[in-house]
Amino acid sequence: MAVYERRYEPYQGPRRPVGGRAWVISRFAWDDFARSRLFLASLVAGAFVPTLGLLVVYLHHNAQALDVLNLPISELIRIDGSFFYLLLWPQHWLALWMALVVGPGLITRDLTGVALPLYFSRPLSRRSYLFGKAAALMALLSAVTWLPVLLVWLFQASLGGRSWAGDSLDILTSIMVSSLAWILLLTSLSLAISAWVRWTPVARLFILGLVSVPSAFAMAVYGITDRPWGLVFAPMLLVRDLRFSLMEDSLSQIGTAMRGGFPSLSAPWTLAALGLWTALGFLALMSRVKALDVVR
Amino acid sequence: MSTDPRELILFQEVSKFYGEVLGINRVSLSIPPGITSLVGPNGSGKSTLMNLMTGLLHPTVGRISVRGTATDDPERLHRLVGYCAQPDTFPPAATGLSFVAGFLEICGLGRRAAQLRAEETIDQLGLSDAAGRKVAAYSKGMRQRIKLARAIAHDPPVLVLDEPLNGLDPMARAEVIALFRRWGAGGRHLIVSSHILHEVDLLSDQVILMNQGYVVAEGDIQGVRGEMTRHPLQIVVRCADPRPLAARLIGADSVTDLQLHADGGGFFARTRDPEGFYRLVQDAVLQEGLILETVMPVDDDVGAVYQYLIGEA
Repeated sequence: MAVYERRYEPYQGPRRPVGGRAWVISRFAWDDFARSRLFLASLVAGAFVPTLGLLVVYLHHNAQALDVLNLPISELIRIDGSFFYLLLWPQHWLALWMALVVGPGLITRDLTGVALPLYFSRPLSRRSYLFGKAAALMALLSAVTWLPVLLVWLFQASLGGRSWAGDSLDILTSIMVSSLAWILLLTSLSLAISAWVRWTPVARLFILGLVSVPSAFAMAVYGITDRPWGLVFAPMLLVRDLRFSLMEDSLSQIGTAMRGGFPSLSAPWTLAALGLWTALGFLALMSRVKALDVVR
Repeated sequence: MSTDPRELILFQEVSKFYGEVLGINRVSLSIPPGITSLVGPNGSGKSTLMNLMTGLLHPTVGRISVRGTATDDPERLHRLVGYCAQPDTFPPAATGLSFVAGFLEICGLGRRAAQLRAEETIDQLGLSDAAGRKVAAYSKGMRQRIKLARAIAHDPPVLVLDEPLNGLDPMARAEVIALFRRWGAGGRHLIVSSHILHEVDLLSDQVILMNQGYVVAEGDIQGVRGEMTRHPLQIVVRCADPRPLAARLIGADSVTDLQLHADGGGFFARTRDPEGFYRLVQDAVLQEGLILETVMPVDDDVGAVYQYLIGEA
């Protein structure tokens, strides 16, 4: 028997807490996103509508600029719930687009490349791994949804004064709550589908189908029963409803017209239904992500 | 040999079933530090054994401890274990340095400490020049080495390496084998699975032979061969005048078979008692003043043991 002399030197320095290690997974994912030109183009496109919003707010508070442009203030859109709805609506569509672009590859690549044993042979739990992936996607979706619209709201609040800000808290609530609900939903569904469907184009179709196709079903149920409960199956309509219902008092005619004759649930029911969708997505995801995919 | 569980990898009556499919069955092992090779055909349970000791799978029955740490304690276990998996999987945008450093950060090291340690390890594996390049652009051998760097970077006392020599050219193989020897001699456990039997011979302090989920033999290869009494050891003897020696040996109980070579320059013997055989040869040489050119066993390597225990199964 050989006599072994211990010559290895394990790391003895400080260690970061377990929760913080998930950010490494997020960083790998961000590096990966940054390689996609389509993604970068979408990110730039995401700044277009909020920039227009900032311009409109600026013009509202700058008579000189309006004079130079020879533009009467009455011809500018009013800054109220409808204005913010018009800003938020395209951003939410863009978030869906970005989830379609980057979401399907997030976990598929690790599953097909058998990379999960690499991650889970480190002190990293499944939850931390999934949190890292979800955080990467949520940060990106935040960058095109509530963050830029919040910036416009804050700009208007700084120019419009405390009274405007106080009166428009429902708009702020709608921006934040509807965006976060939408982000959570898109994240859970796109990660779950990314884990279950390995072919990216098919995964994209699935995500799109899951958020949009049930809307037709919901409307059919509404048409037949005259009751809004079909909405529970249509996450896209639920988020639309949430955007409207949380800023209902601040909507002008344009907003009310945009809302149209769609059925509506109360905000707590809408949130509960969206929570259920999100939870189902995460459950499907957890059941698929394992250190080893054992083929029996 | 140490019996301190903090120095051993212990499997106690471990079974792993995938539904109704057997992974490994009733495996009890006590693996000391040094280089241990896992040998067996596909589906024999080698990967299951590796995945169990790295905590990626949990046993259906039985207990496993790695240097005193249970495999269901990932936070402690994964500080002890470095795993080099067989598939070549890397985050697409990762450079060699960010790949190794990133996984060190997952181990809990701060960014700066991870960076420094990654640089040192990459240098140790001779990849410093390529550290800033994307792993996707590496050759097969470089990818294998960066995977090894990732496994060893946190300086774990246990390294589990699945086919670590795959894809390496002969020079790189020699370098990596030398590294393994250094790591093994440094007191680490190195658990290596390989299909290349002559490399297992070169590399291993001990082998674990597996077949159909069972351990069919374990220990140092000569010891294993010595216990296989059903297959007499084959020995070649070459000398200028082999007849007197052959005449003395042929009557001995320990010699089961003896054939003179056609060229008259030696003979081929089979024995169930190698030590007795060598003693007889030694006595004959001393008494008759013979000059021997070669006395060499021809089937005491991993290949032969594999053939007898698994190939004939």
